[in-house]
Order: sequence, then C-alpha cells, then structure tokens
Amino acid sequence: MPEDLEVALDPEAGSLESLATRAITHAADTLAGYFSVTAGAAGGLSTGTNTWTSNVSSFLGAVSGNSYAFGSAGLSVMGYGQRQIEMVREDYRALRMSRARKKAEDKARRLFIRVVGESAWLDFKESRYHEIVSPSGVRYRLRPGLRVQKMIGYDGSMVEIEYCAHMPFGIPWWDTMVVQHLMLTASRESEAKFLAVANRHDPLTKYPIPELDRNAGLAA
Amino acid sequence: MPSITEPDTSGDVKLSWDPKNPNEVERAKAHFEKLKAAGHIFFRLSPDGGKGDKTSLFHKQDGELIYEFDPEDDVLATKVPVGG
Repeated sequence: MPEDLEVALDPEAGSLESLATRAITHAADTLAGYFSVTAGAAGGLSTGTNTWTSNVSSFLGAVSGNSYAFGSAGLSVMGYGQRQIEMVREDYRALRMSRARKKAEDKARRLFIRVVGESAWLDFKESRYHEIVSPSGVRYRLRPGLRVQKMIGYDGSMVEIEYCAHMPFGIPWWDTMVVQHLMLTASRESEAKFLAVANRHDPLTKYPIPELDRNAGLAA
Repeated sequence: MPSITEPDTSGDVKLSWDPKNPNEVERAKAHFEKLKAAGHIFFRLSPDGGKGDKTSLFHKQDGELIYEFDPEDDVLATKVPVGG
C-alpha cells in the first residue's frame, strides 16, 4: 500500500468524513496524474468538501463512465460504502496492532538474549527450549508461551511436572521467559517465590514439541 | 549507563541515568522506591549481558536479586508473575 494512502486510511486520523476526504484526495490526485490533467481541469476542486466531492464525482464519472453517488447517509468513496470503509479501517487497525506486537516481541527477544547470553541463545535455537539449573539443583526447561517443565531422571530428560506462571497477557512472551529465567536462577528465595505462585499441571511431553512449534510458527 | 528496565507491552521501558549526576540519580532512586512499593522485584543485570565471569568473588553476580537501589546497578524490575 502506498505510504501516503496508508496515512490517508489512518483510522486514528479523525472523523470518517476526513478519512474519506483524504482518500478521495489521494484518488483524485492519482487519476489526475494518470490522465495528465490538472486539479483545476479535474472539475474545479474547491476547498469545500461538498463541492469537492461532487466535483471529484463528476471527474471520476467522466473518466470511467460510471457515476459515484454521495448519499446523505454517509460518504461513498470510489464506490465503497460506509460499512466497507469501516471494515478497511478495522483491518488497518489490526495490521498496526500486529506490527506493534511483533516489534515488542523482537525487542523482548533482544532483552532475553542479553540476559541469558549468546551461548544460551544458540543452544535455544538448536534445541528449541531454554534449559537452566536452579540454585537448588533443579533442572527446568522454558519455552516462550508454554509452561515451565521440571526435569528429572538420571539424564534430566523426563518431565515430572509443569509450572505455569507468566506476565500479564499483552506483555511479550520473551519478557515472561526473562522473568522466569531470573526467578529460577537468581536465588533459592526467588525460585521458591516462583514456585509458590505458579499453578501445577501434569506434564504433556518434554520440549521441544514439534506440533506446538509449527502452530506457533517456530518450526525450524 | 545504568538503567532500570521494566517489561511492558512495548517490549520494555527503560529509565537510564548518569551516576555522576545527582539529580538523575535522585530521580532514578525515587522511581526504584515507587516500583518497590508497588510490589516489584529487582534483578541486577551485568553490563556485558550474561557473559560476566560468575566465578569471580569480586564480580557482582548477574541476575542477583537486589533490594536496595545502587546508582551503579543495571536492573530489571518486574512484578511477580501470575499463576496460569
């Protein structure tokens, strides 16, 4: 989507009318360019919205042979009804939120790498889980968005129990991993504090779990 | 520069200060105390990020739980996670 149209469709920009007006401006400018006509020739654009929209409507109608109606119930932009404008607006809002969340997760992942170190990060990328040993000698496996697994057995490869304690939803999963890592490794006191707040669950199977990785888009 | 880093919905928010500037140190300390009163816990982060020599007796332990403000410390402040 062209950046200027993206700005024109910004749902935070103001009223539906101003949104539609800017979208019309963009469309009219673009078409004026395509057909090598000036804004003046393109229907005598004025500063008044009603005059402007009716002039653009005339222009677009003359160019395309179609007629574009601007009803009193709402604005019709290039044949889009009000409901469609709202749907585009909602879709654009969701797009902006998903971009914001991805940016937040990237930032949180950099914090995680900083806290655990490059070596542990490389291990995570290879094994698909982050394994730590607490001050009390317990081995845990951590995964973003999943429960903390307590590992037992002579080689630490069996899951005894799973603990679920995380940051409030909306905070990136990598931040939760940072906090889990620090609480479980800093001291016996912080480990006990974590275990006191976490809910306990029967284990699924030990990490990594390829199906969960695929669903989360983390599969290698 | 030392800082207090708090995870939030944007990833994290950071308050940094110059340890040689008394006003900035005072502001950071006030923020630390405010977070402490709100129930946050604090972990010391090493400047080189997880690569410090943890065997040295003179090395401040990376990831150590701390309770008092130190203007030289790089700190992560967080609420205790909730059970899920």
